[in-house]
Amino acid sequence: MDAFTPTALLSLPGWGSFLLTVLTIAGIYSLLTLGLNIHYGYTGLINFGHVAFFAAGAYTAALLTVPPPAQVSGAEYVFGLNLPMPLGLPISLVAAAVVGGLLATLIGATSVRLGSHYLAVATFALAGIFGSVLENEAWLTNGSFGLNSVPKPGRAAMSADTWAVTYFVFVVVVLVVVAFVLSRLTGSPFGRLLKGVRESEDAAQMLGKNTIRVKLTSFAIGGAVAGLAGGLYAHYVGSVVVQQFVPAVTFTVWAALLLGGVASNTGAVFGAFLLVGFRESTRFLTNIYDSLLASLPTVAADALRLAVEPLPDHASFVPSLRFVVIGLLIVLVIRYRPEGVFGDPNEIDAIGEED
Amino acid sequence: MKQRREFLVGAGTAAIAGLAGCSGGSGSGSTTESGEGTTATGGDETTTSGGDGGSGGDAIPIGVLLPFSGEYAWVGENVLPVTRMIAQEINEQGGIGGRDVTLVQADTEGSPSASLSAAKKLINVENVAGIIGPTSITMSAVFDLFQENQVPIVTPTAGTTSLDDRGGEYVFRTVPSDALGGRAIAKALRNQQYNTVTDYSNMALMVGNKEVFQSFKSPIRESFEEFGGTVTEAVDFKTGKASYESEVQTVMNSEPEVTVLVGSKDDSIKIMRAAYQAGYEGNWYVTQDQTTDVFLEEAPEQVTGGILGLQSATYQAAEEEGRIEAFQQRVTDFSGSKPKLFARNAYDAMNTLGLAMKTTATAGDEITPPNVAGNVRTVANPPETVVTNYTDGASAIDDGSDLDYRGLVGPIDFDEDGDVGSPFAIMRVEEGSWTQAATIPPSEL
Amino acid sequence: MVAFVTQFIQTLIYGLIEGSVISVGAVGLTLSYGVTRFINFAYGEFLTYGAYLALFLSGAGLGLSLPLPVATVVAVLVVGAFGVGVSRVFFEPLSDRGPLPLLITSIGVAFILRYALTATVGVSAKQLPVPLMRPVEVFGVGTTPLRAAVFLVAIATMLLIHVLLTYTMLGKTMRATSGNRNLAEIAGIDTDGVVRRTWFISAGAGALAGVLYAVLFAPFRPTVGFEYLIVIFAATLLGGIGRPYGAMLGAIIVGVAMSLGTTYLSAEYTMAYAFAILVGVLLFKPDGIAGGEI
Repeated sequence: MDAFTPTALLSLPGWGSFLLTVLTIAGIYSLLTLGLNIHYGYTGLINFGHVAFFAAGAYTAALLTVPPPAQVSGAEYVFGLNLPMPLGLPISLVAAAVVGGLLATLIGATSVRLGSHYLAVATFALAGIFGSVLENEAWLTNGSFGLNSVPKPGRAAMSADTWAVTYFVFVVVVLVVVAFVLSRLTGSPFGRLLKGVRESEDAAQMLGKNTIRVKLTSFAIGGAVAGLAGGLYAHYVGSVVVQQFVPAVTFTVWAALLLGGVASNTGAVFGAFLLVGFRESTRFLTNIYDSLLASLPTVAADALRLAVEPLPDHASFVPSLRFVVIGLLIVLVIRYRPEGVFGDPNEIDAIGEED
Repeated sequence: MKQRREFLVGAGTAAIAGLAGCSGGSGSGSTTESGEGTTATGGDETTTSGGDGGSGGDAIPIGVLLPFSGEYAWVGENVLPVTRMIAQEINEQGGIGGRDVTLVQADTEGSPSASLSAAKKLINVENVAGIIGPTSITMSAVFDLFQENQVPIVTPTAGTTSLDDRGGEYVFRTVPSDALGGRAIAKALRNQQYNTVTDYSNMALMVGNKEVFQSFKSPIRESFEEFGGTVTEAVDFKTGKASYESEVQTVMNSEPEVTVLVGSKDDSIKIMRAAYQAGYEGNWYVTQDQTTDVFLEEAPEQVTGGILGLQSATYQAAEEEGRIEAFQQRVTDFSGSKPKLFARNAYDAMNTLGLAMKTTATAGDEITPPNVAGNVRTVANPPETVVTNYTDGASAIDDGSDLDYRGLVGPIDFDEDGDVGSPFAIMRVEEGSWTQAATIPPSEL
Repeated sequence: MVAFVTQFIQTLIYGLIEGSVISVGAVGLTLSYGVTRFINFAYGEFLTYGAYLALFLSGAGLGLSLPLPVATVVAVLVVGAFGVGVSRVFFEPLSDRGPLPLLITSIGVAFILRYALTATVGVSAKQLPVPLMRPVEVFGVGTTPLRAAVFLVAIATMLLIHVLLTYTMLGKTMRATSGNRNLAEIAGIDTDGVVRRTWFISAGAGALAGVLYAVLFAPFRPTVGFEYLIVIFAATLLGGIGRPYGAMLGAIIVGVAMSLGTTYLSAEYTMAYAFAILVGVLLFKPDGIAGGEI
């Protein structure tokens, strides 16, 4: 592939454009995973509602930048601030992060005193309520139509392919910066405090630490990162609809975190890329099948066909299997390598404690 | 143990990526199928066994960009068999310029980000010549892609009013805008001549809270009031709920003569059952998801007797010439089950796209997306020779004629925004099956 | 005024009926928590499997056409056994690792079960073959005989569980094990066996709840159990986790609250009321009404 020569970059060949989309989405998921890593990896908080922070960030960015309802056909929402691009972009992203952090603090405040399972259930339930609100309060979110005119910053100024590359680079830059900040944070005394709370909250309290505040801060930070991811997402896809923000996102991020390595930022990013790569690669199963059929000798090809024959023929077969694999990943990782690929086994023992 | 598992995961992913690289798009000569390519229903006909492909080189890929997982997976499931059927027909007629067509499925999952990567795969990796799909939910996310890459898409499902003023160059649809549908419902209710029951003076409105349904709400409501009626109650119900007792109660309290119900088949069944069990005596007016045989099979008889429904035209000409029935038979024979919602739209969409490709090839042009896009309107709009299916159209093209494709949904004449008008049929359930009570031509709306 | 009272009572009736179905599920969940000490996020899948199995047995799939009650019983037994299998494969190997790994694993198991089913049967909704009936009304309120039957079945199940817990050996060993497992072992109880039997009952109850739910609420999809999980969690936690009688009471309250909320507050938020109750419980009284065993 010659995708790396400068001229080719500006008009990407087929594969390049597709890969770039996948990589950009993987970058966004990496941010989500980094956020969850702060919650679970470093602080031991089981957050099953992560997608809510993602949604909050995306909707905030959208609301700040979509045109006012009068300009959009069929709009039911009440405000769109229509901040201009590209100047509005930093504002939009910062706001997205702030709102994500606020929502996380709110959700955290209600459940941070709870033991681990209850925290899981509470975060799950609260995310569910938040999702219902997003769907029903059409005056705010345009209901199930979604906000579809989110501007893509700088899109008008360059060709589609150039913009795709630029935005990808932008996402990578944000990712690197965030990862850097987070690793400084977790390496600092505050980071050790987080881990201390994770290992034994009682001990931390005895040492005079306000564990509630520590947990809330952790919630806020992770939520802000997730909100930022939401903002990046909104300006990339240009369309924010509630169907995007389902529990499957939360648990895909969990799978990414567990696989990549708890309490390891490298692991988090790795896990995210792997999971997104896996999901997108399953689009090619039929291509692989066809090329196998075409390239294998007839006997083998017929055998392959026969082997595949009894499988159900409905269209959701492969997509469903994708989720089976994600579930299997979670189960297998927890069982056989709970520290994930990049994690440290010692960190894991620490999380196994009962509250 | 752990290392082995990791290795498997890593190797598996690498292998998949590597193989994907090798396959390089659409080199194979067979029709790409869903899942693992099972040929269960269509036998082996859907897979052109490489032999035909030999004559002209690489197959031409056509993308099917629809949800195949998640809440709207049924849309993909409904449309895919019809597209396969037509693809087979095209290949049996010698393909396009001697090359076979093959379908490439891409799952949008009903989510914008997935639809983005799915569309990119189709456009950039598979180099499809055209696309069938997507749905209203994901249309906004990928609309720009089609414009930028000049890829013709014909969607059989997206009735969203957000397309009313967009499209027409590359984006076409064989399903009328919900704005028209809504108006038709209102008109039909207000005029006995269309519903054969009475001039309804008041109605209640129950609309599911998903965009596909909400798109109807304003048109119905505003039109009904414009035509002099009263809307006694309008309720948005959350789709996929377990029960709808309170919504039903709210509606019943307003004592409507008829309730217009815009929702999915499953939700509609629940609502109508709940209303029946709560003692509702009024009539119902349902929409496309319900004016199907499947709905009548699944809904209890007590609730469906005499109800009214909208259908995007059993286009009269098609009905009279027996094409609808022939279509139903053909789909049943091909796929093992009767055509479902959007099947007819898919038929028209696929035929249009196929004929546009054929025209491009016969004119000696290369089969590239922009070239095909340029011919979509040509084959569908009048004047010229009227054809109603691909085979006739293909031979007409070979004879050098221009075409005017008339479909099952309507005459399929794309306006400047790529929309079609179609007459609407007002249906009524009599003796357990849907019969047509009247039609409303587009001029009345 | 009369209309208001009528509607109110009608709302209560709906709530009670739904609450009774929830209670079957909640009791199952709480019994299993009692002996395993983790919140099983895969529990909802037992409901789904119960409903689908009943569907296939009663004529929609395998060529069998058992009458629905028979199909239900079979489904309950099969899913019960299946539940034991699931616990042995996925959860028992982790039983010494504390509740967090089990909790996270249960999410993975939920995904596996749910999507394996979806891969097999597809996403289109199905219905159980139940007759549609008109309501029987007294003073303007009432319900259909079928729903009344659902209610009675649920109540009967509650009674059965009560009898089980109070009067049978198994029940006593279950209570002992969930009270304090170590002591129970010292006392000579085969706690592993108790755990397995509890899984059987728990999964079976879930399956029954799934069938009842499918009867009440007609078309259902493979996601039905997972979607209802939070409602069951709400009932279970409200009643105090690990307390079966609390779960029963909690379920009724949750059912009625959802019904009232949907009628009088906003119909668009149904499950959200259950979610809100859940959060409220966790905030203010995590022990639940009956005082749970955290």
